[in-house]
This record gives sequence, C-alpha cells and structure tokens, in this order.
Amino acid sequence: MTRLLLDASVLLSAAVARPGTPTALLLDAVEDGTVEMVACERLFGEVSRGFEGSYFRDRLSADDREAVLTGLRRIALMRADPASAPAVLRDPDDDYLVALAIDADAEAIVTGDHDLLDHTGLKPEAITPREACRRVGLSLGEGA
Amino acid sequence: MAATTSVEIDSELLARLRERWPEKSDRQLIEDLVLIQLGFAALLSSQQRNALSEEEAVELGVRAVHETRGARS
Repeated sequence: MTRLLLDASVLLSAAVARPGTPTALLLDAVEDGTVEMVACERLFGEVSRGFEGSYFRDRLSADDREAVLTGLRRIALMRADPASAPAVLRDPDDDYLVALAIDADAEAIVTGDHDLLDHTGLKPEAITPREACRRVGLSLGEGA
Repeated sequence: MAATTSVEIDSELLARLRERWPEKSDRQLIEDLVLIQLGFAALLSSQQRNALSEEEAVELGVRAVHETRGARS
C-alpha cells in the first residue's frame, strides 16, 4: 500500500474527471486499498468549500457532494490539523500540506498546483496525479 | 438518534474487520463501509456524468481551491 497525500485540488478534480483519468484512478486505488490517502479536517474543509462553488453545485447534487465528502472522510487516514507549519512554499496556505505529509509519513503530496509542483527540493516531494499513477502502477484508461 | 436495524454478516469477515480496525465498534465498522460505498458510488456517477479531461479537471480543481482561499482572506 502506498501512502499519499491527495490535496484538495486532486479530490475536487476527481469528482468531475472522466473515469480512467489520473485523479479518478487514484481514488479507485484508494477504494481498493492500493493507496492509503492521508488527510485532515482542514483539507476536507477546502474540498467542502470548493464543492460550494457554482461549477460543482451545478453538477453535483447536495446529497452527492455530502456523500462523497463523508465517504472520503471515512476511508482516509485522518490526522490532526497541523498546529504549526513552517513557511516553506510561496503560497503560505499550502504549508500545512507539507506539515501534514511529514506527520503522516506520506510518500508524496499529489497535486495539480504549481505552487507545490514547481518547488524544488520539497520533502516529501509534490507530484502530479499522472506521476502518482505511474509510481503506484496504475494503468491510465483510454483517452486519459 | 437514527433508527437502527440488525443484519447478519459472515462471522469470519466481521472478525477480519475487527482485526483491521480494533478501535471501532461493530456498528462503526459496518456504517463506515456503507458510507464509503455510498460515497464512491456518488463519485463514480459524477465522473460519468461530467467526464472532464485530465487537464480540464485538474485545472478546475486548482482554481476552485484558490478561489475559496481568496474568498476567505
């Protein structure tokens, strides 16, 4: 089992991505136990607020948004919100992700956000969903 | 409090669940599994309905996070 931190951008993306695409595959892997996702309430707060945006509200019912959030909370390896996060990244709002990943001993932070992806020397490193699939050994679907 | 009901389950399966999550009660174990199943069913349904490409979906996810952070600051 590979332990990864999937950030809020990845979880939001997975809710609307075509099956077989990287973010969707990563959550399939969480469901079947190939990947263990680490999270905290702050991270799910970001997902919840993201779901309240007009794009997601128009495309997922309130019941479905709630079901997705609840299911992810129940399957995630939950950690406490990092009490303090050293300033590491150019967007300070991302620093808690690094602290959480270290606390949970995650192998990588999976994100689509270039504030993290472009940061050289980050530990654990930030990788794209596609790279995470490659490392876990997930086969991308047709057209992904 | 929600109304409850009783179900039968394979004893060996329940034992495996208890071994994996010893901190949880039997009720928590079963309810978690149900909530996870419902969540992933909703997720798959949404993926099939919306069917964004990899690039579109990732861009949307990143933008949504930045917008919500901006709205809070």
